[in-house]
This record gives sequence, structure tokens and C-alpha cells, in this order.
Amino acid sequence: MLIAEILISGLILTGLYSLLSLGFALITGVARVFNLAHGSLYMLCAYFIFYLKFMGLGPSIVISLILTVISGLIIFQFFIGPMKKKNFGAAIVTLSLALGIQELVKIFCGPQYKALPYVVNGYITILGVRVVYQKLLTLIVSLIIIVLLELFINRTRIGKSIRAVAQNMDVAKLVGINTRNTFMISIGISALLAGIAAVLFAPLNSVSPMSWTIVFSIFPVMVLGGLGSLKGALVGSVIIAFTEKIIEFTIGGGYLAQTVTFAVMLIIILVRPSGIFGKKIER
Amino acid sequence: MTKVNKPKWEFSSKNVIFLLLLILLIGFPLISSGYYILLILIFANVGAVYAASWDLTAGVTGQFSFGQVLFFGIAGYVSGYLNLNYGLSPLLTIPIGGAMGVLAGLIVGLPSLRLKGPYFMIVSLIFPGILSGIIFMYPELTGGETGLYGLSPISDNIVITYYASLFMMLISMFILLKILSSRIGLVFRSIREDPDVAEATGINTTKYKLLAWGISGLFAGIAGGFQTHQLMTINPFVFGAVYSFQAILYAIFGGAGTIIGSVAGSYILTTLNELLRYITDLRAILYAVVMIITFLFLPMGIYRWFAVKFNIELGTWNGLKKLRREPYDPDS
Repeated sequence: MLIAEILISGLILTGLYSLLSLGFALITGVARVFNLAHGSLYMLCAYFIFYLKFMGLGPSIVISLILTVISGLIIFQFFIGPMKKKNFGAAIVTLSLALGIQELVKIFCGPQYKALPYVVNGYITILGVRVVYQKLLTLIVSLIIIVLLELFINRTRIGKSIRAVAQNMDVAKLVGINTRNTFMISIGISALLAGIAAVLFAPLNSVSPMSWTIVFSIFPVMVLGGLGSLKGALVGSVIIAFTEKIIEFTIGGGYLAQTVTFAVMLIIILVRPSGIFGKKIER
Repeated sequence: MTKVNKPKWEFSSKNVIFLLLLILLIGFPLISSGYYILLILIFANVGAVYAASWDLTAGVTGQFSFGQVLFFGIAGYVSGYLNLNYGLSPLLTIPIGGAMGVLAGLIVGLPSLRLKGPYFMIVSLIFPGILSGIIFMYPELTGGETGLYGLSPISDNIVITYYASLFMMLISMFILLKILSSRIGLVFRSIREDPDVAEATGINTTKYKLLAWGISGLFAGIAGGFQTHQLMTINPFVFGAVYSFQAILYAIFGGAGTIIGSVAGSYILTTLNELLRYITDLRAILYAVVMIITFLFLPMGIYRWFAVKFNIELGTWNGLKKLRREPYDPDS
């Protein structure tokens, strides 16, 4: 029973972490900047759905995703673009942006939690654990998205150019890749992934102006897997999600789980800064 | 470095401006001793020390961290705890808090020896997170969510508190500027420019990086202890992102790497913040907007901008000569 509980909730948390960290890793890998406003994209998409739900769930989700992608492009164009190749500058500008968006949302939407509609209703009992269909859907969609992204990155021409830019921007420019377009496509995909994460997960734990801080919880994932590595983001999500859930269910306490993963991350970063799959980056 | 015999005092525009500002600050309670306005200036003084402490590691030594609030918070908690449980006076607890800040600074400094750029940034971001987790885990010691309250104030008289904060600020600035213009400061700056070259010229970068962290922790700790006693309370929300952000904002707005810029940044932004007091919702947005604008359009900071714009020789302390040749960018 306990093991089943850990297994199921761990898998679902893995889905959330992998969707968010894949998007984050894509931007880190391609543009070499930290987009701390990634969590804001997640939050914005959830709010878009909340305010557009009058037009029916399907259209509201589609329009919200489009709006989220547009927000991502705007953020990149005006805030990350001028800060390219400046680690600290980009991080602090996006952090300021995230705080600014938080306050704006607080003013316009109120500080209280907002509940989002489930995409599907009902529940099923697996191994004696009640699982809401939404969680199941979450798991399935995350898996599909991960497979699609893998195919896109590895099999298509655009994916190839993304990988090329991530490997070496100057050489990519030399062989005629339009790096600007590649950046835009990557941030678009990244925003889309954050939006999909919001569609799937925001109904499970509602949304508030502070929801953007979810970006901090994927830091251990990123560090474990290696910054900017997609494969690492996936493996890191599995490990961190299960670690958190195991601590939460056996010892108990959300604070403890977070603190322990942070401490684990600290040790990893000191022992092996490039993570499991990260390129050997100079440190 | 060859020693040049400089006259102790020269009648330059820089010295006159600084002297006038100093007289204004010292004589301010004579002009107005309103409680509220002095309170703002006290916050500005504390903020200046806090921001300057960040500037020493980030702007001067080039170790960009997001976790300055860690030293501030640890010192605040330690001095608050000692005051509450053992009845020590603020005169004693603030230095002890500063000492704890040094300790915390050395601990945070350790990863900075191995890590560079984004990795160190992440580590510095999570340190405060770990600490606030610990504070929530031991509520009987730390007061949990409500924190510690009912601490002794610096002084019941606001004018005395103001002079105490001014004294703290001036002494801290004096020491930090002395460090900046000494050989140690030169070494710090050389580590910022290129740690490998610094190492190659025979500088023990490990020692000097840790020294920078220790000094930074000391002054952040003193500021933290002062603020805690002045507000008579401290709670775990001090470890939020906004407080680290405050130091970075003040320092960068003032001019990263100049130390004295932090004072300018702190005074201007604290005042601006208080002017917008009645539109409380907009204050955090103001922080964000100022930060973004500063970073996108004025990365050199207000201090250097002022010096170049009005062609005032504000001194060669802070690499201003270099600025004339090329625009300064704290994060290149």
C-alpha cells in the first residue's frame, strides 16, 4: 500500500518535473542563460485557463497555450535577448520579471488560490490507491510529450539545428544556421512545455501568484542531470521526484523533503558539478 | 605598487561633494527630527551596509551570489536569540551576529572555490532555502513561523538610533573603501578579472576568495543584527528571495564594484520606496522595474553614470579611469 502510494505519486511528480525541467534545460542548453521566469510561464498559463474557461475547456486550453508561447517569446525578445551570454544578468532580470509578474497577478487576480477545472473527472483504484483520472492523464501526456520532444530534437531538421546551437553557437552560425530563429523556436517549445505542465498539474494543486516558485523545485533536477542536458533532465526528474516522495511518505514533512533534496544537490554540485549527463563545463 | 606620497586632503570637487553630503547626514536631525523620516534614513543606512557587503564579493571579487540574505538572516537570528534568551545587550549581540556572519560567509565561500558562473549561482540560491527549512524544523528554538519577537531596541530614542546607524554605515564604508584601495582590494579585483591569471601571478586565490567572503559576511551580519534589533523582531520570511534581491538591487543600481555606490543606491531607492508607500501594491513592481531597467540600460550604475555625465572626478578608487576607456559591465 505504502509502496504503491509512493510509486504512483512519485511517477506523477516525475511527470511534472520532467515537463518543467525539459523546457528549462532547452533554454539553458541553447541560449546558455537561466530563465527564472520559466515558473511564471507555468503560472500565467494556469491563470489564462482560469479566466478563459467560460469558452469551454478545449478552446480555453488551446488559446491559453498560444498565449503562453507568445508570453515566452516576449520574455525572450525583450528581457533575455539583450542579456545573452551574461549569466548573472539574465538570471537577475528574469528573476525581477518573475517577481514583477507575481505582483501584477496579485493586483489583477487577487492573492487567493484559484481552482482550475479538471480536464477529465472520475477516479480509478490501482493497487488499492485511489487515483484521479487527471493524474493518470498527466502521466500519459507527459510520457507522450517526452517521446515527441525526443523525436523532434533527434529526427527533425529544426531539432538538429537546436542541438547544433547548443553544442557550439559560433560554429552553428558558420554553417548557416539562423541562430535567432533557433532561439525563438526553443523558447517557444520551452513555453509550450511549461503551459502543458500547467494544463495538467495546476488543477491538481490550484494556482496562486506564488506558483512561479515551482521553478526552484526543479533546480535539484537540473543540477543532478547536468545543466542544459535533456537526457539529464529526465533522469534527474525521476530520481528527485522519488526521493522527495519517499521522504514525504516515510519520514514525513514537506519542508524536510525540500531541504534534503537541496542538501543532496549541494553535495552533487560540489562532487560532480557537471551532473550525470552534463557536458564537462569549465568551472 | 610603488608608493606615492599623496597630500592628505585636496580641495577637489570629489572631496567637497563628499564632505557636504557627510555634513548633511550628520546634521540631519537638526533639520528634521521627525520619527518617520529618520526611520527611512536608518533603513537606508542599514541597506547601504548590506548592499556594500554584497558588492564586495560580487562587484569587486566577481563571485555573484543570490544568497547574501543568508548572512543577514543568520546574524539576525543569532543576535535575536542571544538577546531574548540571555538578555545580552544589542551592543554585544550585533558583533556576535557579525561573527556568525563571518562563519556563514566562509561556509558559502567554500563552494565558490570550486564552482563558477551558473553553478555557483544555483548553490547560492539554495543556501537560504536550506536555512529556512531548518528554522521551520526547530520551532522551539527559532520561534517557527512567527520568529523571534520582543527584542530590545537599539535605543528608545530615534535620534540616537539614527546616529548609531550612521556611525555603523560610515565605519563600514570607511573600512570597505580602505580594503578596496589597498593591496587586498587590488587582489580581489584581479580575481574578478581573471582568476587563472591571478593564480598564475602567485596569488593564493583560495585565501583571498575566503577572505572576501568572510568580510562580506561580517558586514552583512552587522547589518542583519542592527536591523533585527531596530525592528525588534525577525521571522523566517527574511530568507525570501526579495531580501537577497534588495542587496543586489541597491548595489547594482548604485554601481557594482564601487562599494560607495551602494550608499547612493540605498538612499535613492529607499526614499523612492517610501514615497510610494501609499501604493503598497506597486512597491515590489517598482523593485522589479528598477532592476530590469538598471540591468538593461544602466549596468554601470548611478554612481559611475553621475561621474561621467557631469565629468566630475569622483576619484580613482573605483576603476573610474578604466571606465573612461570602456563602459563598465559588472557581468561580462
